[in-house]
Formats: sequence, C-alpha cells, structure tokens
Amino acid sequence: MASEIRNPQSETRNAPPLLEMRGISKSFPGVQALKGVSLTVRAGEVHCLLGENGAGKSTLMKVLMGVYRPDAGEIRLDGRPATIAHPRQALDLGITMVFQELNLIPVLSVAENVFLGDEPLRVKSLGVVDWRTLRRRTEEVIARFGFPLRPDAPVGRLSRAHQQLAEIVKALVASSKIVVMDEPTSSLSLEETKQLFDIIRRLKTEGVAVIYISHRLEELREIGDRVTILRDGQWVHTGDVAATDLATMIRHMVGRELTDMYPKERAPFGAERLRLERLTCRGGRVRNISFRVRAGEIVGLAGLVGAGRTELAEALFGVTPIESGRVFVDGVERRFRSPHDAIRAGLGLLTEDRKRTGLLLNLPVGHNITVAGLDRLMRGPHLPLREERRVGEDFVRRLNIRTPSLRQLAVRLSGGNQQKVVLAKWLYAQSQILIFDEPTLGIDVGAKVEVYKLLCELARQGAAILMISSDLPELLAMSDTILPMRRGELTGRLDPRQTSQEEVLRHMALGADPASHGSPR
Amino acid sequence: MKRFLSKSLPFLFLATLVLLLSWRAPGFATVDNIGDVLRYTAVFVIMGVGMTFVIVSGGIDLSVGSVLAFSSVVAAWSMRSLMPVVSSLAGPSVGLCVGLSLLAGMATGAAWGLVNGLLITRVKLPPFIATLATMGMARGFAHLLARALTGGATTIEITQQEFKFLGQGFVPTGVTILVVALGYYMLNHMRVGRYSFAIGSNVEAARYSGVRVERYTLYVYLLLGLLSGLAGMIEASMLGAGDSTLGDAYELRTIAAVVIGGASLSGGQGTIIGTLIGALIMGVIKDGCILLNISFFWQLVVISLLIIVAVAFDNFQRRRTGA
Repeated sequence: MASEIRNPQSETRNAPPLLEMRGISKSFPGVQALKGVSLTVRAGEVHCLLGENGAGKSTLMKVLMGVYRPDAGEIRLDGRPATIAHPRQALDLGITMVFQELNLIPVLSVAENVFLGDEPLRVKSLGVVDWRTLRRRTEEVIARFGFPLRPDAPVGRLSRAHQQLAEIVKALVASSKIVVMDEPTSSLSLEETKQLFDIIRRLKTEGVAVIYISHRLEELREIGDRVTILRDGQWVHTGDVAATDLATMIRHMVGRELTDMYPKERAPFGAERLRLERLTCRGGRVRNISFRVRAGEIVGLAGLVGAGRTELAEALFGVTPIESGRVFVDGVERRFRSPHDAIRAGLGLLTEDRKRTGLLLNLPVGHNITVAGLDRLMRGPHLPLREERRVGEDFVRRLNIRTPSLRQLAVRLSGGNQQKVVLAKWLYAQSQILIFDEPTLGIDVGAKVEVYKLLCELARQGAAILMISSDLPELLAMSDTILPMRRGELTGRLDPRQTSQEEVLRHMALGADPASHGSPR
Repeated sequence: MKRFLSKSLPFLFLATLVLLLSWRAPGFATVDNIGDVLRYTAVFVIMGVGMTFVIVSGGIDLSVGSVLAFSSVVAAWSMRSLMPVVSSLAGPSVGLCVGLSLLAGMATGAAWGLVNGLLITRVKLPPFIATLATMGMARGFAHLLARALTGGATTIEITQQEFKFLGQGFVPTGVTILVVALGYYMLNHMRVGRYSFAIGSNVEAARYSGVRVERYTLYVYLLLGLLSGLAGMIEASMLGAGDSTLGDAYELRTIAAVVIGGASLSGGQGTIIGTLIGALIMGVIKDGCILLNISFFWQLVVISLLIIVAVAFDNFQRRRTGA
C-alpha cells in the first residue's frame, strides 16, 4: 500500500504547501481505514474535508494530530518531512483541533482551559503557575477577535456556542498554523454560526489554514476555498469549492447519483393522535403551546437554538414536569410522569443527543434495539434471547444498519448507523407518536436519505410525527405543516408548500408580525 | 478466537492455579481441602452474585460485610427468643424455629438492602456514600444489639445443632450453586438483569428508553441485601453463633471477586460466571498460601496485585479493540 494514488493538482508554486499528507494508509484489525490518502493544505485557506461517516476523515485527522501512527505515507510541513507521534508534538508544530465533542473542563475558567497542560510558569521547577500572564494572554486573544467571552468565566456556565469559542481561543493562543475544526457548527445557532465564519475569515487573513469538516454542505459553499472528498478510506476528489457544485460533491461522497435528496410522500391524514392545549412548562422555556398532529402527518417544529423545542419534546415525553396545559393522546387526556408512562401510551422520542440520551453506548447493538420495547419481547418473566436475536437481525436488514454483528457495541458504529439503531429502537417499541429531535444531526447524506424514507414510511403506516429540525431545507421538504417557535411560543403555522426559508426564518427570529409584511431588514 | 481467549482468561488462570497447587502444595487436591475451599468461598460467591448486579448497574455496595454480621446477630437473637415460645406452643419444633430465624436473618439483610436502595434512589445519595454510611450503621447496630443481648459480648451462641445444617459439608456449596444458577438466569434472561446493564451503561438513555431507573436500582440493592443476609446465615451456621464482628472487610473481597471476574466499576459490564471464578481464584490463593505456609500478609499483596492486573488487562484489551 504505497503512495501510488496522488493528488492530481500540482503544488509546484514558488512556496511549498503548508501541509502535505501523502499516501497515508492506516488499518485497524479488520478494517482498512485509510488507503493511500493525500491531502494538501495551503496557508490561509479553508480546506473542507468531506465524506460520509466512516469515510476516513476522522482517522486522517487523528493521524495528523499524532493520535494514530500511519502504516504508510508521509507528512510534510512547509516542505519538510515531519513525524507526529503524539498530540503534544502536533501542538508544538502548530496544529490544533477543535473537537466536535468539546474538550473543556467545566469547572475551570476560560483562561485556565485555554492554557490547560501548557500553563505559563513563574518558577519552572516547582510548577508555580503565572496566573497573571495566563490571564493576560487569554485576554489579548479575546480582545483581538472581539469574542464575547470573559477569561474568568467558568466554562461549565457558558453556552455550547461560547464553549466552542473557548476552544477556538485555545487554538489561537497556541498560535497555530493549522486549525482542524470537526463539525464546529453542529451545536451553534444561525447567528453564532455567522460569528464563527467571521472568525474563520479573520484566521485566514492571518495566514492560518483551517481544515473544516462538516456534513452541512451549504456551509462549505459559504466558507470553503477548496474541498477534498474521501470515500471508503480513499481519496476521490480535490478541487475549488466554487468549481464544484453540490450534486457533484454528493456524487463523489456517496459514489452514486442521489436523484432525490428528500423523498417526500404525502399520505392522507387520519384521526388526530396528539393534541396539546396551552402547554406551559416551569421556568417559562415553553409557553402556551397548542397544536395537534394527525395520523400520517409530519409536523415540523422550527426554531433557533434555545427556542424551547427540545424542552417541549422533553415535557411531552414526561422527562420534565408540565406546569399547566393538557395533553391528549388519541383523544384521551394523559399526564406522563416519566418516559416510561409516555412510551406505554405510544410515544417515542428520538433525542437530539444520541450519545447522552439515545444509546446504551457500551452495550451491544442488539440490546439497544430492544430496550424500549422489551415488554413485547418478554414471555412472562423470561427474556427469549433467540427471539431477540431474530428481531435484531430483522432490523439490521430492514434499516441497512452497517454492523459486523448484533454483539457489536453501539459506540463502535458510525453516526448514521447509530441513528438507525435508535430508530430501530422506536420502531420495535411500535411507537405511534414519534418525536424526532434533530433526526439527521451529524449524519451523512446517504444515511439522511434513508432516515427521510423511513419517516415517510412511518407516516404512511399511520404514525403521527413531530420533527424538530434546525435544517430548514429538510424541514421544508419533509413536513406537512411547519410550526415556527420563538422564545418558548409558537409564532405561526406555515404550509411548507406555500412558504419559503426566509419566511420561516422570519417567524423563528422575529415572531409573527402580520402588520409588517414589508419585512424590515 | 482472540475474543474467546480474553474472555476465558480468568478461568484459565484459575485452572493453572489449581494445577500448580495440586502439583506443589501437599494436601491441596484432597476432597477435604477442596471442600474447605468451596465452603470458605461460598459466602463471597453468594454476595458476589448480588454485587455483580449492583456493579453492572453502575453502583457499589460497601455495606455487605456489616449487613452479614447484623443479620447473623438477628438470627441468633431470633433463635434465642423464639425457642421458648415455639416449644411451648407446638411441642419441641426446633426445625420451625430454625426456619423462622433464617428467614428473619435474610429479611434483615433485605431490609438493609432496601435502606441502601432508598438512600440512593430517593435521597439521591451516591452509592458509595450511602453504603459507606449503612456499613457503619449496620456494624454499630450489630454490636449494640449483641451487647444488649449478651451483656457485653459480641457473640451470641446458638446451641441447637439443627441451626448448623446450613454450614455443614456441601450444603453451602449447594446453596451457592443454586444462587449462581438463579443469578445467571436473572442477569441474562430477565428484565432486572437487562435493565441493570442499561442503567449501568447510560442512566439517561435508559430512562429515555422507558426503564424505570429508580425501581430497578432499588431491586438490585434489595437483592444484594437479601443475599448478604443469606451469606450471614451460612457464616452463623458454620460458626454456631451470631457474631457482630463477622464479615470484616468482606465488602472489599466481594468487590475484588467481581472485578477480577471482569466487571467494570463504571458499569454496564460484568458476568455471574466471572464473579464465580473471581471468588474461586481468591479462595484458592488463600488456601494455597495456608498450605504452603505463606504469610497472610503475602496473600493480601498477591490478591491486590491480581486486581491491578485484571483491571489493567481489561483496559488494555478495550483500548486495543476500541479504535
């Protein structure tokens, strides 16, 4: 497996590229994760790294960060060969990574986190920390970029977005030349995303190269300069973002033509299955919410991060208490005191945070599939394992879950396949009223389409679906009704066939304002 | 194959140990000696089965040794106070009296388990803290009760021979086999086992999947309490007395057996057979040390080293395959 496959574009300008990875191969027991992959990154560019889950993006970045040693291939920095055997070494060479799962210590302050492991010392041999310098240098970076952060704020009290900023400050203080960002916007609101892009542009002007990993293709068009696409551990394409259209990117990623991104079918609606009347939660995160969902209907809940959509879902599902208002399931008023009650009444909640609330990560895939519907499986007090295996195999086949076996631990699957396992869990529980909170968050295009197909199939079979999504094109394409939510309240009711992204956004951001259709901007 | 090897490692270690001792230690491979080892190990296996549920569910219970002592005292007390009553009512029915006393002892254990479970699920104390407190309380009450009954001593003797049947010959082993079989079935083929894994793996995800986390957490502590009570009955039966000093440091040995058997203290991982083998390894090492005239203190060192090796090896395995 030598470096036979090369990047076709010639990098023979006057200066050598900032980073050159050539013919990188890496295999794990049973998997060839990377096969002769090459990546060239120039100073001052945003280089997007694209690929489905499992395509090898993370592995490639872990090689760059010194987490994995490649089996073959070489890394050159500024034209000089470099060996990166340890993350510490990567940092010293000016490479930092902003992780998707944040790497911060909640109880420490922003400044302390920024310098964690590399504290400026006053008395070197004793390890006495020079707190003043630590604070000053953090402040400098914050001021230079105008971040809305205080150096002494404990990181645990910050919003996800501000935590992300703290991670970025960390990279900036280390005066990195290469910053890797893995799905940096997955937890950011629209406004925060815009801020992040401004910061990335600032970084570019300072000659920093950004390697940007995201599943949100629209974002790449906005921020990316060049794009490299991987598929099944192999390099497939590198080119200018401006010269590569979305369809081409998707084709390269998936390896086939995706004819229909949103396979929406409209089913006739049946009887009302879920009705909320003036639902209000403690703390005012959800106020006076009323709507209904009929059998076969997909109701899309739109809103900015913090609009109260997840809070609504959790209140509905019995996770958090309801202060006032009523919930009707199939016409009968219900009050759920726990998810257990809600599930028995036919509800299912696919949570936004797979790892925290969706999966039993270090248990087998098979257990994860049956956990919510165990009642169906039980024969009296007896749990028939053979029957369970049959059920599991059935779902693996039906949902095309890529796993070596049912005994594989859920944590080892890729994001898209993990999401399918969670879907299988609710399918097996035969939930008839399904709440999907960001069902396609962080999963790749191919898996997204499969999730959409499943959604439609469920609706066709008479399920009532409430879909929470921050992905507007998805929401518009897949919903039958769109309910925009803002600061805990619904601000309208839109027909996706007669509305636009702009109108939904306006409702999300400003609320319904029938008087000012001239949209003051 | 590799998976199989790493899974059966504790067993291979035990087998090697047994072979080695049969060869080097005179008197090891005799029926009497093996019987002794099994009798000695019984209480650790019995409590270990309960502890496996607790550890799999992500918890810990430090109170088992004290609960064992407390329930032995209660059983002895019950024997003493019931004997006159029962014999005056229905003639000399010692069997009934023994039965009731054993039940009382086990119920006492279960009651302590219930207290642990309630402290953890209702008062929301961390298991370590809750059971650290009940460990002290059960021990304190055991001493107080024993002192009150005997006028200052820690031992309440049980004179009736019938009480001792539970500790004789292969009876403890028989009880152990029953507990192991039942524990195996419950952990793998019943809701409580499956939910223990779910809770230990990810409490929040378990809750969101409809698992009644509080209820099942309570169940596992209740089960361990009950089994600690049963272990107390066996100890009392072997000794022919209830004793408030029994079970000292048993919690650590029990936890050690579970961990050597491959369970993870972070929850979601553990097997009944592993625990059985873990307890046997410790019992065989103890026996071997006695036969070979090796100091008790060396025994401590060896078992502690074993814990380190078992956990380190497990971590190493996981890191290698966890890519």
